[in-house]
Amino acid sequence: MNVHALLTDATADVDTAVHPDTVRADLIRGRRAAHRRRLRRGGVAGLVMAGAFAGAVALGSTETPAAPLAGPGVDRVLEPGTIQLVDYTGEQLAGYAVDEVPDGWALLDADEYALTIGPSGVPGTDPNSYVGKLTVLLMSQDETMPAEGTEVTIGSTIGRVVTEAGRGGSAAPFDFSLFYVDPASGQPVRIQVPPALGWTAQQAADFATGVHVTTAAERGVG
Amino acid sequence: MRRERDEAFSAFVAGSRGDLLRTATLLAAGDRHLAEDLVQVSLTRLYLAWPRLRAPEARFAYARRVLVNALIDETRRPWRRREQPRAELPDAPAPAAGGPDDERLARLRPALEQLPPRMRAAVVFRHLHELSVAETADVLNCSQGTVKSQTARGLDQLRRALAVPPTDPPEDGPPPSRPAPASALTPATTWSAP
Repeated sequence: MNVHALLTDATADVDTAVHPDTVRADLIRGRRAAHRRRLRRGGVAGLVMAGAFAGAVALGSTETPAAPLAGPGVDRVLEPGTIQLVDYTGEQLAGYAVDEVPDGWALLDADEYALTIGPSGVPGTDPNSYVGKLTVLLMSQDETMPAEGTEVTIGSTIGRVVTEAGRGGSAAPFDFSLFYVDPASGQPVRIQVPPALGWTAQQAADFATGVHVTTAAERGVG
Repeated sequence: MRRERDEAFSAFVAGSRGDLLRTATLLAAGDRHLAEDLVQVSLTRLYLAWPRLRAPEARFAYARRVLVNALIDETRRPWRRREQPRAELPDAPAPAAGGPDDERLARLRPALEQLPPRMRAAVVFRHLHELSVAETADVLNCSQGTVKSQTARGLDQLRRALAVPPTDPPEDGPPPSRPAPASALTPATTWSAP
């Protein structure tokens, strides 16, 4: 069996001519995707940097996970453990697999760049928006692991929590970000925790223990 | 800067889109609509990754990798597991000029569809594009041993589906010989006898 010839013949009737309009349409799709990413990443990166400059903020000790969030720059005290983790038994999406999710929350969208998790039964969310969602993504290739923040233990590795500036307002997209290197894949991971969860740093670390980065995950640019 | 990127990307699309569409058509087991979707996803993500992909071969490898990932994503969608849409009706009559080669072509697409996505991709990249085991492993982001085993199993399943005895060299042997260009091939003359 000449497999090459067989496969070639199977695609012999595929129209491989590329019209200039098709090229332009592909270019426009790419530009729009880049624009959406700039909007998304620009806002996220700015908040992370601002949070880093705000200095170390106590986010709950690793020894006392139940401690409420409090510290300089925090203008409200979250109820600790507002939403607990429960085993996740549903379908896994591409890029990232999770062992646990917040109680009452579900996987919303995923591609190779990010997995978003939000309250169940909330239809029509924009997959490109991370606002108010628990988001798992790889750090951008242009980012470096933050040197500031609170250290937490994630299984066999150490992560670092960086708070976001302007927390406390309803417009704050997420409370803090957890940065760590996934031991299995060696990939640098960022988990953005929204205010609605009321999580401590250790609760975020517990969630991160059950996050598995698949080979489909990719690091963004910018 | 952006203008240079756009011009280079447009040149890539003009020169490579047809080949990507052929690949995607096989990965999609003949589903033309899905193939076009896969190509669009691949090119959109390629545009995003363009600044870090300086070598032309890296761009092509990336586009192929995204084709496979997009196919895997697609096959994981719940509606796709419940329903099996096809471009052609399954009870369509056989072509009138049904020679042995036409019959084999007609059986190829459902046979491809039965292969898991990554196994299908391994067969396509090894035997349509004639990538080496190492190149295929790079595209599929897996080990060379996985490529060999996936390709061997894929070929075995295709042979059984097409009722062809195993005559090809083993997967760890020399790469397949490069045949004549597609334009010179005809169904009646290019298939070796089983």
